[in-house]
Amino acid sequence: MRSKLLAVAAVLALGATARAEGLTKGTPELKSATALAFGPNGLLFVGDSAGATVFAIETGDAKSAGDKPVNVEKIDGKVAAALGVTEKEVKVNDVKVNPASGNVYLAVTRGAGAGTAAVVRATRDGAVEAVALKDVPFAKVALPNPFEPKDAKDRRTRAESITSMAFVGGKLYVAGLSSEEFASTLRAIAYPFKDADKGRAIEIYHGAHGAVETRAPIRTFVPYKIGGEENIMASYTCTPLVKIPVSELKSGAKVKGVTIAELGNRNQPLDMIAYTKDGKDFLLSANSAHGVIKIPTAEFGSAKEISARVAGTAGPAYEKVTELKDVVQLDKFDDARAVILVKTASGFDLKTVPLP
Amino acid sequence: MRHLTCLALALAAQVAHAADSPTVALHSAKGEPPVVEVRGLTKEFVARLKDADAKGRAAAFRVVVGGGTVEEQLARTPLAGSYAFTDAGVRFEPQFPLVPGREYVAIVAADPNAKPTLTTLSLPKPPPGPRVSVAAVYPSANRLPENTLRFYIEFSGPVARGDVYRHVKLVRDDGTEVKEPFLELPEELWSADGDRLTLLFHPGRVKQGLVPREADGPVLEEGRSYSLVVSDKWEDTEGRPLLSGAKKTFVVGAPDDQPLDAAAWALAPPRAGGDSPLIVKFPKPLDRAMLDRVVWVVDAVGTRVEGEVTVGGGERVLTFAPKRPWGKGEYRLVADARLEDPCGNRVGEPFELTDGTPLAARPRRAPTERAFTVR
Repeated sequence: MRSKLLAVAAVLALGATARAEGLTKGTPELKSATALAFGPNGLLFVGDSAGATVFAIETGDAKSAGDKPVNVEKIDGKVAAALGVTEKEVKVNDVKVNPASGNVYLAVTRGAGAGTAAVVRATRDGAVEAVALKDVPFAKVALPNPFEPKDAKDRRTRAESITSMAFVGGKLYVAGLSSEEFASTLRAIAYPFKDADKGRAIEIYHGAHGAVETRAPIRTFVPYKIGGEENIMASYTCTPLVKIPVSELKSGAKVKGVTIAELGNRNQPLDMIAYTKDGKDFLLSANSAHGVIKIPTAEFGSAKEISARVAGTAGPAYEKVTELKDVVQLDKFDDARAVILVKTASGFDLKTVPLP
Repeated sequence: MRHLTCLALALAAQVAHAADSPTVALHSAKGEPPVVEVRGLTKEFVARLKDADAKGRAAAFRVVVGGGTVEEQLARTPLAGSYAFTDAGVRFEPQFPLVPGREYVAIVAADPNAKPTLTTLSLPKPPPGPRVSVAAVYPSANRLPENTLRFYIEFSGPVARGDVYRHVKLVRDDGTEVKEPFLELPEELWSADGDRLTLLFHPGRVKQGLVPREADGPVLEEGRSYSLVVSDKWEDTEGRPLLSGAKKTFVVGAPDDQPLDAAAWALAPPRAGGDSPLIVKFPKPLDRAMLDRVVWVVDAVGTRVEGEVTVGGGERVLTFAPKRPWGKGEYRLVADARLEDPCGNRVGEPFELTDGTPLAARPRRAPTERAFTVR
C-alpha cells in the first residue's frame, strides 16, 4: 500500500513539474472566492462570483502530505488571525480537499461588507496558511455576459453567485444562482480554458410534480457515474435529487433533469459527495435541517422519475447519519474518510471523520 | 521540525548578541500598502534570517492581530505575508493590507532566553463615511401578487453581511410574524455594486402543489396585508447601526401566472435630432433589477445604441435616453428572454410550465424585439 502511495505521489510530483497547458505566471485578481474545485496535480479552480470569473491556479501542492487526519479546532479564528482580522470578519464559503496532497483548502471572504477574497490551506499539522497568489501560474475564463457592463459597479454586471463547482472528464462544471432572474444555470467549461468555449449556460428544468416544470436553481451537485454514464446529481432547495446526464449538457441547450428522490421538506442541501464503502456506492449530503444523510445509489439507474405529488420523502431509502451534526461543508478526504466543517457554539471546527 | 526551531533560536541568539535594540515601526511608501519594519539588526542576522524557512523567520519576527493577553498573542497564528531584507533590517509585507484602526503586535524574539519584545502598531483610521439607510424596497407597488418571488432592498451604502436574514421579517396584518418566509442562502444574494440585497421568498411555498406550501401554507395570502420590516440594528461596515429601519406595507392580490406580452408594451418614440428618451410603458410592473440590466436599444443594423436606462412609475415605465441625439431611422427595443415580472413570468413563458409540452418541442427563447421609428 505504502509503495503504491509513493508511486502515485511520484507520478503526481512529476506531473507538477511540467506546467499545465495554458497557464501563465502572474497574479490572479480575485474579487471574491466563492467556490473551489480541484483538477489534477493540485490544479485549483476558484469560482469568483463578484468578478464573474473562474480561475485555474497551479498550487504546486501536488505531493501527498501523508495520511494523518486534518483537524483544526476553531478554524475561523485561525483563518482570521492569518488574514489580519477577527473571526467575526471571516466567512468560509467553501472547503475542498486537494486530492493530490490531502491538504484542505478554504475559500474565504475577509472583512465586513463585500470584503476581499482569500484562499487558505489547512495542513496536516493543524496549521492554517494563506495561499500566496502572487506570481503563480494561472489561467482564467470570464463567464460570458451578454449585457455589456461598463465596469464592475455597473448593474449590468452579471448578478450571479457561483454555488458549486466540480471537475470531471476534462470539464469544469459550474452551477450558478442568480440574484435576479429565477433560473438554474449550469456551465460546462472545457479545460484548458479556451476563449471559444466559455460554457454557455445550460437551462435545466425538473419536474416539481405532475406536469409542472420549474427552473429552480441548483444548490449543490456531485458528478456520479450511473451504469458507466457520467451524470450530475444535483440537489435543489426543498431537496429533490435530480439526475442530469452529462452527455445532454450541451452549450445553450435546454435539458430536463429527472427527479429520482425527494429528500424532505423545510430543508436546504448544503454540500454533497459520492463514495464507495464495502463495495457499495453512496451519496453523502449535508443539509440545513435534516443533518447529514447517506443515500445508497444502487437504484439510481433504474429509479423511476418522481412525477406525482409527494408527501414527505420518496425515492431510494436513505439513512440519517446522526453522529454528524451541524455540518456545513463536506468533502472526500480519501477512500475511507471525509473532511467536514462543523458549526459549533464558538465558531467552526474542521474535522476528519470516517465515511459512514 | 525540531531542526527548524533550533535554527530560529540560533537566529534569535544572534540578535541578542549583535544588535543593541532593534526598533519596530510601520513603514509606508507612497502608493504601497504599509509594511512592518525592524531596523537596527546586524548584517549577519539579516543574512541568516534570509536563509531560514517560513517557520524559522516567523519564530524570530512575526506580526499578529492585537487584543487578548500576551500569552494569547504569542500563541496566535501570525499574519500571512512575506519578508524583504535590507542591510540592517527586515520588512514584513502583509499579504492582506492591515486594517486601519486595528491593533497589531510585532513580536521580535531578540533573545531566546528572555521574553520576546512585543510592539503594538496601528494605522490611523480615516474618518468614516456617511451613515447608511435603506434607500428603497422593490417591487415598489403597494399591491403585490400572491406568487411574488422576491424583494430587493437597496441601501445607500455598504452594510455588514454574513447574517442578513436576522435583520428582516415579514409581519402579517394580525401582527403575527410569518415563519421563515425567505430562502436563507449562505451566499446572500448581493448586487455587483454591493448595495442591493435580494430576498427570495421560499420557492417551495410559492409554487403550486409543492410539499412546503401544502404543509406550511403560502407565504403571502390573497386579501391580507403584510409588512416587510428591515431592522435598524443592521450595521454598516463601520459597525454603526442603520440611520433608521424600513417598513414596507402591502396588500396581497391574486397570483399572476400570465406570461409577459411584449405586444402590449406602449412605445413613445422620440423625435430625431433631440436627446429626449424613448418611453416604454408596460401593462404590469416588471422586475426592477432586470429592467436595468436586460433591456437595450439597437439601430437598423443591429448596433447597440449607447445610452442610459431609467426605471420609474412603479416599475411600469422604462425610459432610454441616448448618449447622442437620435438620428432618423428604424430602431428596435430589445428585451432579453430572461426578463421577468416580480412573479418570474417571462415573455411567452409563465413561471411554471404546466402545459405538458416536452422541452424539445418548445422553441428556443429568443430576445423580444419591438421596432420603433425615429422621425
